[in-house]
Amino acid sequence: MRILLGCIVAVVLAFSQAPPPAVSLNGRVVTGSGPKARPVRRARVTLIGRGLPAPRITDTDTKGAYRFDRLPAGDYKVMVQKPGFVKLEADAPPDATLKMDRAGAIEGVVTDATGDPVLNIVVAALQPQPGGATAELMTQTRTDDLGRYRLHSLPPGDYLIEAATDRQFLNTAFLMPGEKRPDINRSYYPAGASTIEESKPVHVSLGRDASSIDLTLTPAPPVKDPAAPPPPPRPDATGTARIAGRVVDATSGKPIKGARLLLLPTEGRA
Amino acid sequence: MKAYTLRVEADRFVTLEYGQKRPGETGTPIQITVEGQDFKADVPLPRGSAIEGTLLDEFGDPAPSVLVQIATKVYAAGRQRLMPVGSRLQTAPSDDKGHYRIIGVAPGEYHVAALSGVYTDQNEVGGFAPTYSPGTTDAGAAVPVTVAFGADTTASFALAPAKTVSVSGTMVDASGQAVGRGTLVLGPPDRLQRMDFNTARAVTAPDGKFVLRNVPTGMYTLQGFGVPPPGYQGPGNLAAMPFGWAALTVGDADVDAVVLKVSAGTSLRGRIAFDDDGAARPKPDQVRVTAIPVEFDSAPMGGGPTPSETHEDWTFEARLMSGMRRIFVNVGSTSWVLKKVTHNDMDVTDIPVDTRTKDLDNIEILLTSKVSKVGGSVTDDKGPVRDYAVVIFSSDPTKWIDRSRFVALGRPNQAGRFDVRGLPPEEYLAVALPNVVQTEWMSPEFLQQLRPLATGFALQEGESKTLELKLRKRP
Repeated sequence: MRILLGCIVAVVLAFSQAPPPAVSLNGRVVTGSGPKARPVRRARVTLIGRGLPAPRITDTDTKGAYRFDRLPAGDYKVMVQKPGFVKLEADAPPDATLKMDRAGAIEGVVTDATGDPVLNIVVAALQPQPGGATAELMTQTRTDDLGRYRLHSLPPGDYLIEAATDRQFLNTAFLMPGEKRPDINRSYYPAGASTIEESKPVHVSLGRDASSIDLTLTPAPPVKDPAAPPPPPRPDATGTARIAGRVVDATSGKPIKGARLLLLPTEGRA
Repeated sequence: MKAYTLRVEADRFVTLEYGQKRPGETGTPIQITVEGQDFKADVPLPRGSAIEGTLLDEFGDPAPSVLVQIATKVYAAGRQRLMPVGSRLQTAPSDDKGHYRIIGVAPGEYHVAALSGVYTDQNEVGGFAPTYSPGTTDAGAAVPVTVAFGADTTASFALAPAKTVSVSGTMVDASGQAVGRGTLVLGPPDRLQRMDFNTARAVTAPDGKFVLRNVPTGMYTLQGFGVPPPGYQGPGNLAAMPFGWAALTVGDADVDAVVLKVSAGTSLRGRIAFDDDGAARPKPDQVRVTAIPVEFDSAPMGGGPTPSETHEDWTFEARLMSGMRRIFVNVGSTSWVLKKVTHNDMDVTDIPVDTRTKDLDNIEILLTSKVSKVGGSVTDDKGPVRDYAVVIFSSDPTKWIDRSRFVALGRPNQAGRFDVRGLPPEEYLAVALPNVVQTEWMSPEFLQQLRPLATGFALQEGESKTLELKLRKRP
């Protein structure tokens, strides 16, 4: 009897697993409301649903419209992203009109103790969490050669701004024997804050830029490694020559620290 | 005696070689002549410049997440092309305001291309064609921007809207098995002789499937590179991987079910012979036979050298051949030079061979120790000149082919003299210029301009010639 019941259950299950009819989902993404509503063009729309093995991705067109075809019937959610707008997550009923808000941004400059801009500093916007929990990373970017950064597409709120030397950068930094990589160093806004506790939040409103959020950070140079073994004896220099010199700024004549040199045998015809 | 090139790079500065005065030129080799020599090599570096600007869509709104690639017009692999400069790491995608900044740019003229969709990231939005400053999709009609020493240049423009679709399919090997983690490169068809050289890359999933999202309407060459056989020890060189290609025309609709087959291609086999006993023979591993593509649709548009072995008995095998190629011989000895290449007794020294479908056996490479030498010095009205470039080229324009044996560049050594070795017997022209920029000295257009300025001379096999040249103004 139990075996027979098992067979019936299996048959019912098999029927219920027949592919449901394929459906389409379409919608439109706008910003602003009423007569001022404008399409959000070329936004990335990600569709998530239990019937999908992996999320589907499409773009809105120049009218802000999107469409997914050949979907199994079911409930779906969409995530809409475009730089400059607050990320939107919503249910996705057919023929939806989804409204996106213009996001805020925080920008400024990172300089070192001498006032020179610092390149490739990772600047992060952190959001304080209730109950003293670790602040959550919302977004991050890097400074350019002028020390400038811009953290954008931020929802309204209060953010702590952290500047840190880049781990990837430190890992590729050239070390002399007996040196070790410096630790990542960090600083916070306002300039002079060296811990997150000393940091003051920056308030971001919809569609507004918070400018001149400047920080100071002096990347630490490689440090002597006390644990390093004594340098190996120099290889036998018999039959060799020495090339030495200085790398300097062609305009100011100032020495350039941290330049990388590559010596290659010259091949082929002169 | 040994010579070295010293290259120096630093953040925010232009990378230069020791003795290099201008970007695009070569530096001065450091000649180590005696043991214990102390060579002083100071290298001043100019500050890098930047190109920045704002990218807009066709409605005047910012275009975010667009990668800007700068390129210079150079003679590369047989014709003028816009070759990308620097790494894409020099630039972040445009921000929410459409702003971008490319740093560490050397002075010069650049074409600025805005790339989106398939050219950036698998999930990035499309809807634009690659657009060149000041806003054209025709690379040939683009206007370059000029970057000066230590100064920033602006290039702001609107991107050209385009229909973009998905191209999907599967990579398979010669036996039809799916190839996971294979590399795909989508680029312009070489046969159309277009200037642009923008490529998109993707990697196949473990089941061999791939999707290229947001490919603009147009014609493409899709090239596939398989994975190395188990136990492969060599470098990560695409040209050493199984290869396949497909011509692709992308219209208004998605392209599905593309099957890209990659295979180990064909081989070149033969032996190396010596025309005389004029010098001690090189070691077999000093002579490397390979073949360079003469078109880049049915042969890889990227990657390093193809694998090749020269055995102790002077037979060789060059593998992973594809497309139409010219046989190329590298001799790691200054005492020997290539004289002739034959295939089944037919002279193919500077002529492409067809490696598309079958192996080529019976290739004979003949080396000679009768190595020609063309040396000399350069003067202007005031006397000897220490810094110059001498271009030596065949008087026969049909020999001005890609990486020709009949076209050479001479640079002064520390004594101010040039020395070019191994040119084949020929009627030559020679001209001394203050400098040459990048690879222009190989291009037929440039050589044609040099012709009226040049001095003619004949060179016999193994002959030594001395030329005293007057410095000419660049055409």
